[in-house]
Amino acid sequence: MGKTTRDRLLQTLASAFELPEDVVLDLTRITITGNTQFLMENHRGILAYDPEKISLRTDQGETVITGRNLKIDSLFASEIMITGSINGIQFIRSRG
Amino acid sequence: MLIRGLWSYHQGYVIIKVKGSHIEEFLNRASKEGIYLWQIERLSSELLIARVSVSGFRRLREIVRSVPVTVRIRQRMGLPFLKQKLGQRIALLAGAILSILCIYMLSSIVWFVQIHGAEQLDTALVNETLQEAGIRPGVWRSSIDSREIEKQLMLNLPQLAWAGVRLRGTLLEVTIVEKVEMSVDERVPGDIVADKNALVTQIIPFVGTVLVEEGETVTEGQVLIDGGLGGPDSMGQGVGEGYLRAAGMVKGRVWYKGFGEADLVCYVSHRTGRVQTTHRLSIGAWHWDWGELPPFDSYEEETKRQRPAVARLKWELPIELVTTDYHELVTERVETDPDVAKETALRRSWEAIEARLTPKAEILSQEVELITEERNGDTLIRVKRIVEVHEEIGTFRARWNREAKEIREGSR
Repeated sequence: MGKTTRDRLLQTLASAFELPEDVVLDLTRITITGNTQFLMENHRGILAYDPEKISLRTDQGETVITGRNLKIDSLFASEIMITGSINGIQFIRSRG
Repeated sequence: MLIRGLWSYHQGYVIIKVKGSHIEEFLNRASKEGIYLWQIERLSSELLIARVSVSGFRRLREIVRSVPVTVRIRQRMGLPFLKQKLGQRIALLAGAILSILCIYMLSSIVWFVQIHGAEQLDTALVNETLQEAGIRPGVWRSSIDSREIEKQLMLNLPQLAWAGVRLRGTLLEVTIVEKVEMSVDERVPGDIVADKNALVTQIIPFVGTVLVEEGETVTEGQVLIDGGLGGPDSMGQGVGEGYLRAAGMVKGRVWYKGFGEADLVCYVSHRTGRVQTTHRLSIGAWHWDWGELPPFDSYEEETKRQRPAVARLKWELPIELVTTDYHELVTERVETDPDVAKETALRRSWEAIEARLTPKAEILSQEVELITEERNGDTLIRVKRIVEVHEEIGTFRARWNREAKEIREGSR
């Protein structure tokens, strides 16, 4: 609970000083190129991976990418690039 | 992408096969450890293919111990592995280097010399001159100085107006242009003589002395316009010593006789459809025959030669297959309509004359005589045709023949 208070404070600060929220709050940043490339920074790991669906854990919950022939083009500690034919992206908020 | 590919190729990487049920956990652990994985592809629920650098692969061992997956190397890629492989196969490496050297050496030699543009000039002569200048198939490209060869050609072959030498790969292209020389005939002095028996009707001299008059009958070879500088009335420019090149137009009446004949009965042979085929296969100097000779009384041969050729190389194998078809013939007696035969005879008699006429001949009169003859039991139609035409009768004859003769006679 304390974490959310801290988050709220940081968010207020970020908007007050016009700082990018993803830097201050460690939010995920997603870049999509067409429907073939999906780049996510600040991910927290892979929950499930198969060629039709990839679930990624983030601080905010879960991000699900659906499509066909999905491949992980590169995988770093905080960055993941997915290629393939992307059909949908879904954000699922964690229970907390 | 390209940079990453080149870099990883340079550093060396391995394609790994990851098997197990906890593949996601394996990926998360790897990324947390800072091991960079790329081109990850899931082939089935328990099988994954990924690429990892050599150093990354070593660090993966730690993870494999704690996560229940197996990691196998599927393929080693990149320069370090290539070096290692080549190091083990020195002969292969040496062969590759040797073959590159060979190609380089072979392509720096002139293998072909082509000569274009030789019309009057003998190609062999040009080749000889080139060889004297040190150019023949097999010399180094670097030893060839195109300008120098061009100069050599121009110096040694006075018949040339221009020479161009161009190196195209292993081909040396020599293009020559010959001087257009005035034919000897157009310069020598001479006379205008009659080229057929005729009755002179018109003389227009340009150069020289007229020796005949209009209305005179001349015989073949008679001098009509003299090129000699004897007469006080001679004019025109001097060519050679004491002689001119006579020129002028002489027209006259000429009579031509032409014969034509046609048979009323003729024999035509045609094929019966029966064919006998023989074959001959020759390889170099040897040959084999098969098939029987035809049992026909009269026949026609049709020969077909087949040679396997490598079209692209313009090269023929010394193998030849000759197929000969013998077609049986029968001869048939065909009677021609008298009118048609007459037409044919008339046409032939005209054709016999037409070939001898000058193109601008003017026909003054014609006489046709029809004769029917019996020969060997068959009737023959003959046509005798006499044509009177008005045409050019003068032709140029060089004088030096006559002169040479005189000199020879005088020296005796």
